[in-house]
Amino acid sequence: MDKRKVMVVDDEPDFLKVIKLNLEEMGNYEVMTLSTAKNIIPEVHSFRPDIILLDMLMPSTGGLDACEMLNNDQLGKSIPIIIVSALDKEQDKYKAYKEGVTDYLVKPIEKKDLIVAIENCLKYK
Amino acid sequence: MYNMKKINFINKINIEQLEKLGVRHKKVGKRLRGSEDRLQNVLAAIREGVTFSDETGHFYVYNSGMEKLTGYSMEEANACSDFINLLYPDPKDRQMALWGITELLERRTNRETEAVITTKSGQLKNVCIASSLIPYKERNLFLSVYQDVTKRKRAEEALQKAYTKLKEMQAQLIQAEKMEAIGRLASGVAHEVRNPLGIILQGINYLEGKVSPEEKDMFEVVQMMKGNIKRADNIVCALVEFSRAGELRLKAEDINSVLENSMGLVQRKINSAGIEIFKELASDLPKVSIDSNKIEQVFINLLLNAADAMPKGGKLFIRSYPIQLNDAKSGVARRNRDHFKLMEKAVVVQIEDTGNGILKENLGRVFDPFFTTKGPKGGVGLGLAITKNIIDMHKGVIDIESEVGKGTRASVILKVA
Repeated sequence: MDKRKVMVVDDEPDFLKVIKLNLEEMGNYEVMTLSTAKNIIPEVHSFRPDIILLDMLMPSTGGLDACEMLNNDQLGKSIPIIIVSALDKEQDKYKAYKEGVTDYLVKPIEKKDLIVAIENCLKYK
Repeated sequence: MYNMKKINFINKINIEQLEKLGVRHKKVGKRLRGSEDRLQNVLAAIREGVTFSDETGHFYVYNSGMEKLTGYSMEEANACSDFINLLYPDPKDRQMALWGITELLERRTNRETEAVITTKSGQLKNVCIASSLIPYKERNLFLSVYQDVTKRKRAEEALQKAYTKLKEMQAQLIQAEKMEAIGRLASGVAHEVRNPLGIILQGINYLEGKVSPEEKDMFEVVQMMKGNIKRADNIVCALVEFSRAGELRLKAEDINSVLENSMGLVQRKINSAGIEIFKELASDLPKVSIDSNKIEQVFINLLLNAADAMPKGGKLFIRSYPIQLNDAKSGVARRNRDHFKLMEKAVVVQIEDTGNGILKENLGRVFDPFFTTKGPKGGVGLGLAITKNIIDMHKGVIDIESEVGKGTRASVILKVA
């Protein structure tokens, strides 16, 4: 079975490193990490992920900006997005869901909960 | 024998003198009448009420201003044996008036006082009374001038009310700004703390997979680390919750329904601890002005604390009743900053347990943020701080009484809508 491609975008390099370790350890994910969403569209076209894990608060291009960029792209709008953020306000969640994200997870998140959320999203893809 | 010549002379003199005296008397009478008329005109022209009376309360002067002010004529006032009671039906005002007379007699000085009189038509009027004692032939007479200050008093009261309201609004604004600042700070702290917590948890998850349950110590350490990340996250959540308590949506609500809802949410925990519940909820309670979600949170916190205090079971008393506040303990006083005014109607909710109780030295600290007696696994110590904050925002009062070994009683007093 082909590995599922997961793109993780977060400005915390430690988070990117540890999440890549955790997901790749499962054996069925291929992970690409990005520390900025600035060039997300060309990266998406090159990596062609099955799912994107996106942080909300990032310098220059935030999670919501990235969602908008993806929504305006033919390939990008077909990819499910899970927000993984430390922001937990209802209004942040509302804005994200309005941009079409599939799920919203608040850090700190357990590996097993993250896997369940990813698998749920991929089920409907 | 009489000297006729002498008698005629005397008669002539007397008649002349009498005539002269009569003329003079007429003139004096005329002058007196003129003076009396002038006095009456002056008294009638004075808008203030002017009275001249003796110690028995008999009036010698009672001008039209006084008639207009009280609605009683001088004849009616003098005919009434207890005019002071009629004019001052309120014992407090009557006492004030009598005390004024006593002071006048004792100090023999002019006196100015304010009182409320009740007119013949039952209208209440604020008056300022300036009185002087006039000793006259071993008698004490009183000259009093009554000035109607009702309009001024009402304006003062309206001004005071507006000032109080303005002060309240200012306090609310400061509180709202403070809460907003705390909210911003809490959100910032939450974001900055949750990010590293997220990395640590993912890291622990990674290590968890490398440790087999047989390596008991290693496995336990990993689980302990995970537990403490959860604890740190709970503190962050509670801090954010604490800072959000400022946003109230007040509505007139039935407090018993809110209480029942809260009980429904913690029923399982209470039942599992083998706690007996005794409900005494008054059925005819007035509605209270509350944000039901926030007050529900208050009751849940208090019920959970009660349940935690009785791990081996006990009795839980839940009461609600109306009250007319009359003591300082309920936060009642005349100062503007006090939440309740004397004799204000309110609703009390009491949650009482027969648990361990709280040590006297800890009782004063129970509302302090991060203060807890439950130990690291029991809670983060923000429950009662949040509870107090919510009650303060509602301008209510919360009081905790406790005795070690006997139990704890939490009383919440809320404003009637």
